[in-house]
Amino acid sequence: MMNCEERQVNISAMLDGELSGQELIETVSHLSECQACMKEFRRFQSLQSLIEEETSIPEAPPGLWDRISQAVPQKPVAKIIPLRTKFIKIASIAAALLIFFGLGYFMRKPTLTILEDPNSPIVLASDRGSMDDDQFLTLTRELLSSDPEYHRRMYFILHTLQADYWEGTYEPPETNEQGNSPQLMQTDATNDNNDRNIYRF
Amino acid sequence: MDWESIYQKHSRGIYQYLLNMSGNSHDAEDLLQETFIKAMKSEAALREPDRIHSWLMTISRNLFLDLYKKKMRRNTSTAGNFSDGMMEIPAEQVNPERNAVLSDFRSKLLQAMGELSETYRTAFTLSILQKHSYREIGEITGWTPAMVKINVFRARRKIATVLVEFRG
Repeated sequence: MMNCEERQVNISAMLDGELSGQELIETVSHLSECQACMKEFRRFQSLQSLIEEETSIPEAPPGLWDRISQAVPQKPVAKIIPLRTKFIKIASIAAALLIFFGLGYFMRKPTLTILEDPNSPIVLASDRGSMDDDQFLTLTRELLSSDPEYHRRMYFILHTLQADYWEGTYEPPETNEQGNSPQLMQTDATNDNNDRNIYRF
Repeated sequence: MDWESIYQKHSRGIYQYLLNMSGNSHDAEDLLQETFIKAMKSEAALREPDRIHSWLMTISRNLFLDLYKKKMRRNTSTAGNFSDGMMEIPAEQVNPERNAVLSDFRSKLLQAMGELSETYRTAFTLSILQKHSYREIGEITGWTPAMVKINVFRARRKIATVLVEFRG
């Protein structure tokens, strides 16, 4: 059984909003029965009211921040870059790298010097990332059909790449039925055994 | 971290705490400055950014306790300043118009606080003046929940005895 001193500890906590549950119920119940504790409760309440009415929080001294910031030079705060801006930046860097290495590859001396049939369709095996079939094919079609010369060169590059790196699964390109002008022929997307799609243009 | 924003948000509460604890604006200002300099230099130690206020308050309390101990050793304790009625009323509080109404209560409050031990003054300032939760007070002081509860009660009772009777 709690004595009044212990009850008054709880009365103080109750005024601070720190009492709940059974303790709160018992404290309120005790207050209704004990005049001494009720008197203490009222005294605490009066103090609370006086403080709230008559005290204010002083302002920190003016100019203090300037002295602090001079004493500890701050590193510039990192800006929060929106996700879209970040994506555009990353995509730009990736594109620049692709162009750089692509040009480097294009301008190097080819390892495969004999181009059997420049009008043959391009066979492209690609890890196309998050693009679905339609997106990938549309993009590739646009690239290849925009410039016949580009098509020819792409064929050359990819043919060389296949010859160099795609061991064992290389399929000879089919003949372009439309004659000498290299252009988009047909599209055929299939899954090969290596879980990569093959596209013919 | 954007320390200027953090300063703008938290400096006032910390300054009030330091002013109540030290009893004079000169020490409070020095301690506030030291608090932020120390915090900025050791920001890597802040593990929970959500609790930055408690962390800053802990730093300021530790700095105050260091100063308090030094003053005690030199026998010119801060508590002595309080009990001799030498506690300085901050400039903001000596506005003549408001002062006419408030000075009696405030000077009595400051005097009563000066008569409290450092422990009860801390409990009173953090709980009743600044309305920190008991959990936050525990974080700042390292007291257990039971210690927080009893220290706040005893501080409240001592101050109530002086002030409520003063007001009638």
